[in-house]
Amino acid sequence: MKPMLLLGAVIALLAALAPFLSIYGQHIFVLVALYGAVALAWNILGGMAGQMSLGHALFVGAGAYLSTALYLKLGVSPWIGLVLAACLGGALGALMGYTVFRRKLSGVYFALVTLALAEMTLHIVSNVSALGAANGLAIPARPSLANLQFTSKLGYCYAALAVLTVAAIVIIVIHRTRLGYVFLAIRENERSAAALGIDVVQGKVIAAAISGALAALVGPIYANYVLFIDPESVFGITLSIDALLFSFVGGLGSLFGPLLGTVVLVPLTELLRGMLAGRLAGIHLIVYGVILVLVMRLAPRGLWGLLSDAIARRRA
Amino acid sequence: MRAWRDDSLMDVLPLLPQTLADGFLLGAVYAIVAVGLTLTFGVLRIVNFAHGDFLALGLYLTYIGATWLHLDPYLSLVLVLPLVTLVAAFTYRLLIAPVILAPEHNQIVVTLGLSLILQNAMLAIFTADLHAMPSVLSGHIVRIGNVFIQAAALIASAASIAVCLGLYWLLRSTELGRQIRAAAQDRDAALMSGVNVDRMYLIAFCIGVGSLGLVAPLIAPFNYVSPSVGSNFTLTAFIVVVLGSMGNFVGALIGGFIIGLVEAVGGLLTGGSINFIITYAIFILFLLFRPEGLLGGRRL
Repeated sequence: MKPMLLLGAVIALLAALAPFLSIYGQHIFVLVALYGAVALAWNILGGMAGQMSLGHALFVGAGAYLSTALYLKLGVSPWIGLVLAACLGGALGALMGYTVFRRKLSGVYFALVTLALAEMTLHIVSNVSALGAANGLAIPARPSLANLQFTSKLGYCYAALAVLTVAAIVIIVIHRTRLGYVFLAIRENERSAAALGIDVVQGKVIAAAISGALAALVGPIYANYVLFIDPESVFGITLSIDALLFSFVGGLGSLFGPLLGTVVLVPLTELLRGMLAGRLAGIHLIVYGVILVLVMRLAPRGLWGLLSDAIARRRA
Repeated sequence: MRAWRDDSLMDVLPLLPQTLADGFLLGAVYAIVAVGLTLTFGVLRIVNFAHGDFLALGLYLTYIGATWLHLDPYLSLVLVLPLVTLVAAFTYRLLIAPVILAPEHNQIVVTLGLSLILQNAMLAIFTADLHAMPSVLSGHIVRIGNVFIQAAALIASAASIAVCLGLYWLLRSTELGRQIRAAAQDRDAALMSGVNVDRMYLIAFCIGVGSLGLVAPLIAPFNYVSPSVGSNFTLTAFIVVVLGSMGNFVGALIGGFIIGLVEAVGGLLTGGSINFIITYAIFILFLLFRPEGLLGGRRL
């Protein structure tokens, strides 16, 4: 139970820290927690099971649109929307995984299918007027716990932290059960895994379903935080690449490397944005690109790998 | 309802020859962009997610030539082609060569990173504004029956097809092409037979990406440039390449025309971004049910 205790301690520490942050600090806290949750979700399929997705925005967007549309059109509570979003994300992940992995598509083909699915969904949603088409959906601000809206940023800090905690618990549970070994075996060598009697297709489908469900969970929280969603912001390729980027920079396949990547990169982005004050749009993405290329060249195991190497050397 | 549909069909039908011509012209440009992508994939086994961004780079260089040096896009060809090829050579040495033997994941991530850098560098320098690069030929229209074609588009398509055929001849019938194909088919065997594989990779990458430096000034007179032009072309090129079988030269040519025609006819019938949905649906169905593409197998 040691990892669970450690996780509990870290979460408690973060929760205790949040009230003392400035408004701006709390904003970054929310962003880090939400992006961190997406990166952790991505890493279950992309890192732990080794299937690189370029379309995880599909799940985030589906979750955000489902809960927002249910709330706006039918008055369904976002809390129920949150549960339904996770179910939808899981179902989409399983469906996508089943159709793709049964046909033995992997590597770049899998990346292209996921990319195309997310882009196609973006264009479909952009044409559905009931979903606000390309203009998106605005959520009226009615702060109350029942509406999953809070009067202060602190409330959102805790909501985002809760989602992050769920993702972290799921990852620890996977790691400590047979499923973790199944994913590892599939990632390292599919043929050997199959020879050991592991159902490779089933394992990947499970990874996709869990990954999709967790990513979808972020959607409703994000939507209720910014109170506005449009196809480009939640289905766009930028979000999918962010998830991949944080994971690779943090350390692909390590349990919490993606979170480390998010903790480093998201505040860096905000800092750059603040410094440039709207001038030179896109400069933070240039920095992302450079960091990504450098990490691939100098530290293919990411920041997590560098960190654990440093600790190992200190001990030796 | 039925009557309305018949009416609209009657409205659309006379436009069909024009649409097919537009689709064919568009398809030729897609074909040459896709041929470059399929060449780098076929030889280096690397999927270049930054491919289209080099086209955008070429377009911006053409734009610079037009605004600073007052060069007609066609004249700026003598600058743009060598510059894009040079950037390709540096890209190969700095980024591609080090990961040539790395896992596929890492290669994809490196080209994605390159795409982020190129796209956003262009955004930072040129902003997101659309720019046009008119040429002396921009206004000229060729009329064939009821079909009107821009002279510039005709030139671009003809040149694209010519370059595709020229590259095919280069690969098939020259000693250089034979060595490139050897490096593509079996890296180790080629090395043992004395082929300088690294050099062949460099040349293949420079041809594949450099050809975009040729296309850019040719399509400049009837296109706009913005930083996102590149990613649109990258996606289309991927669709074309998968359709025509990854690494297959002739397939990319055929796939280019198919997607060009699908986009033009789809645009005529539906209009707007529903068009993209059709293209993506074709792409996904192909990836799922026929990932080896129309022609199957890898032939270079």
